Amino acid sequence: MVIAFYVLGFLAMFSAIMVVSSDRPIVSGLYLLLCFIAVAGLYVTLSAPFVAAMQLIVYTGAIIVLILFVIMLLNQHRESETKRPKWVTALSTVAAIVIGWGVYFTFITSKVVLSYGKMSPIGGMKGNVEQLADVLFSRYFIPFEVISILIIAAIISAVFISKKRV
Amino acid sequence: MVPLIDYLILSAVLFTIGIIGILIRRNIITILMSIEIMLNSVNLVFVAFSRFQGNMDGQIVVFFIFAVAAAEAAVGLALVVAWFKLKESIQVDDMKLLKG
Repeated sequence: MVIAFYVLGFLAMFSAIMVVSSDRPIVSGLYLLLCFIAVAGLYVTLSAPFVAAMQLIVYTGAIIVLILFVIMLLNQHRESETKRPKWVTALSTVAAIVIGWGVYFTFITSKVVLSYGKMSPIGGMKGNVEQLADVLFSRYFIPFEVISILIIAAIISAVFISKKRV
Repeated sequence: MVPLIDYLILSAVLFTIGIIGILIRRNIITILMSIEIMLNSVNLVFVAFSRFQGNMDGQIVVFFIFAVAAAEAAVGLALVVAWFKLKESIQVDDMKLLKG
């Protein structure tokens, strides 16, 4: 369990860094696939197999394929040389690290977070889907239906935006 | 057993990498990918808290985030395609129609 966490965590971090540092979009897309698979494995170590399966279906099955199709459609090989000065890039990296350090600092100084040393005895791997369905179709029923309206709206707007102008 | 703080630190690192990607890349498709990394790190926090506290609400929220991420990717990539048809470029440096 501990080994799985560290292997998957370093895999996720490594592939996320490669997504950001590569200047070829197709390489970034394939490393993003690896990052999503590693995060799906982390969900399994948190005994959430259904969320892991949804991650594999929705992210690696739908979103990555969509992104790769758009990259191939637009035929982008390499990012062109930037007109931005070097110090702007350096300054934005430092600013991003400061923001992320704020998040990190909030986590490591929170007493509530540090009090959770080990996993709760309830909510294990067994019966995960049943428990999820009980909560989803009782307390979260209205939001669940509203999400379908959101997806319909997104589909229609995506078709409308990218269609040929008449 | 891995404590909760390790999952949260991993999530903070992924979030930071996502912010760096948004700020330093000029290719809009890579920027969309960085947004997906940030959404994933938030999902990891939700699932970790759900597991350590022993209730299911965090995993439900993750489903809603999946739906929103799928909608965002569809509309965002449609906008990228429409912009490419207009200007033959996907660099954010070229997007300055409102600059005046």
